[in-house]
Amino acid sequence: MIDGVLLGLATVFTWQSLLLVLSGCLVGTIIGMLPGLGPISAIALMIPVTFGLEPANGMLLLAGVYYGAIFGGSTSSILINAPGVAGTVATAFDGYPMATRQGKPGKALATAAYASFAGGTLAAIMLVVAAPYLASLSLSFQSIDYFLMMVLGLTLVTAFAAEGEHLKALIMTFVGLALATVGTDLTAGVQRFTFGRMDLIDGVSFLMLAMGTFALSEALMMVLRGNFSATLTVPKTGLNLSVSELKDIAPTVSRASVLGFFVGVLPGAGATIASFLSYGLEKSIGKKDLPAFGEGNIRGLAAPEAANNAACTGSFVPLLTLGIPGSGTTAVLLGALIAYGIQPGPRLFVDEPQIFWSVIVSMYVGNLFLLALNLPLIPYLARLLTIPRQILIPMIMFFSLMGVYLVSFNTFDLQLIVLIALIALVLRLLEFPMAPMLLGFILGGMLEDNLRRAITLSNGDWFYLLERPVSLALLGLISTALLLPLIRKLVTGRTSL
Amino acid sequence: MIYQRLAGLAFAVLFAAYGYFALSIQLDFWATEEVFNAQTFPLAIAVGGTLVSLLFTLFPGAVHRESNNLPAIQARSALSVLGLLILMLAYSALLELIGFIAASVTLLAGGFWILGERRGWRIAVISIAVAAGFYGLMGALGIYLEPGILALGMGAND
Repeated sequence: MIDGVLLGLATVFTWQSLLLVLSGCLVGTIIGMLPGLGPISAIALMIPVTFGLEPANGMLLLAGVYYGAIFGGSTSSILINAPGVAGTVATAFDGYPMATRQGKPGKALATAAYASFAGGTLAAIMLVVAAPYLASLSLSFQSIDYFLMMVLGLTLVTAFAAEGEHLKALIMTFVGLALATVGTDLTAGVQRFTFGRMDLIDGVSFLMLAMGTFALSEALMMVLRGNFSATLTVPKTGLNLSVSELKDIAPTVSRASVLGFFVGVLPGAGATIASFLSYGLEKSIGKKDLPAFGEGNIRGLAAPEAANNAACTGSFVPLLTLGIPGSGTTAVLLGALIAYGIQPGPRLFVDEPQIFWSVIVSMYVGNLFLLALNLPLIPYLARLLTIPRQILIPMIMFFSLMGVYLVSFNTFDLQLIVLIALIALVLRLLEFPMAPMLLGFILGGMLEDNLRRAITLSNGDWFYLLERPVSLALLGLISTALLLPLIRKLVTGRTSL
Repeated sequence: MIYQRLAGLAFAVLFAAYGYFALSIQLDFWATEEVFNAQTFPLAIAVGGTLVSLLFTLFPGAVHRESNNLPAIQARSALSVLGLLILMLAYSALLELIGFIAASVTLLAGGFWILGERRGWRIAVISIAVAAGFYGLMGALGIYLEPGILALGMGAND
């Protein structure tokens, strides 16, 4: 292991390699900030650029783009409540209120930067130590375990909803699951809920739903509130976190990094589940925190940021050790490796140790560069919030619509996002939370696939759910999470669910 | 509270309708015998969603605002929201007709005006700069954006 790390360091710490990582981080951050262009688009755009490079250097550039794009997505999530990437949805819960209601955009972005850096660093260390062992562990997870883990993620989001909102959160989860079924069932090859429209054959896109329910509806809500005061509070663009704040988030970041890394190791689980699970965990621990979670709590921001970055690192474990991409982004990276003539898998460690270890070392170096690059930019990014609302809101509208249009180049999607934004606005006025719907939508397809596979493998035996110890443990956690609000109600005598 | 119950009822009706359309999903003849087919998951969602919605209708829970009614909305704000929604729909229609830059300038300028910006130079400069800048950035990234039928008619390349 030490030899491998030294080999990786020798490869990465050359002028050319450092410049490539730096360029990747910069390009990735800029592209990640643009709505509609997340890590997958950023990497896909950069692959042709890497064809003239050595494979190891090409991977260094792409890894830098990956992390940069994740951080760029967090920036738009925090500043304008427009999570362009699924893994940064939970970042908006406390990041956006901290930036806007508390008027601390600089602190919010800095917290995200530090938490991401810490999460990525801790995950890189865990990756170096545990990659081969984790790979074999991840193989032991079966479809039914994945299904139950996703159900657990969904029930935790509803369990940790605000008092009196548990049923609303559950309803919105079902709405998200229902939206995920629109389109073509790829296994059966049949169209569902398309009503004969060609535009709906591919279903509803995540970006459309995220932009419609978060960015656009938030913009319309600002207009409805009529909050156009001539004198805006000048946002505090300072980056400094006090010693007590650092002490406060240190345990949060540690917990979130470990949780995020292990969830990221599981193929298909990914940054989204990791960020929601870690947010739910911190919320359950910090019930008496002020400000409360969802109102700009610093731990509520640090947890999902550390977790999603750690999960991104964790997703490299199945890619590098087994040749199985752990997420959509690593699937694109797999394509890049194959294009270089390299086959990732158990032999990569033996046949191409330089690539294996240089990618791992580049994760740490990439995180370092991101921190160094982005901290000086934060005061300028934070000044976006000084733009008058009558200018900012149409620009948010424009970027939201563009983000959706760039995915499909179909004007029907623009009409659909307007409808989604209107419905989301009405639901927000009725205090229905949007996050459970988004999570239900993201996980709906994978839930169905894994359940279908599990039932098919068990020859239609639904009691297979109860046969494995891992499945039973997950079922126990799910039942507890579902019954938690009811138990609280019985104990405290409250009348609302 | 009444609005919450109405919302619960509306969701129950929606999920019931969803379940009805789930039963209409076309299945191949062998799929009808399968334990898990294209209808299974949607039907489970329909049943679960309907039950939870009905439960919510009976137990709507607390509302966090001081008033149990919807928040007071000024007519002017509501009209602005309506104007912006119509503007966005118009944008979707204009985008492929007059092209990206012209449609985007229209969207931005219209949005600024609806929200109360009245300085013409500011409206023009910001909307043109943002639209043109975005067009240029997409061009640099190799992403094609619609020049518009009118531009094509004047001899611009596809």
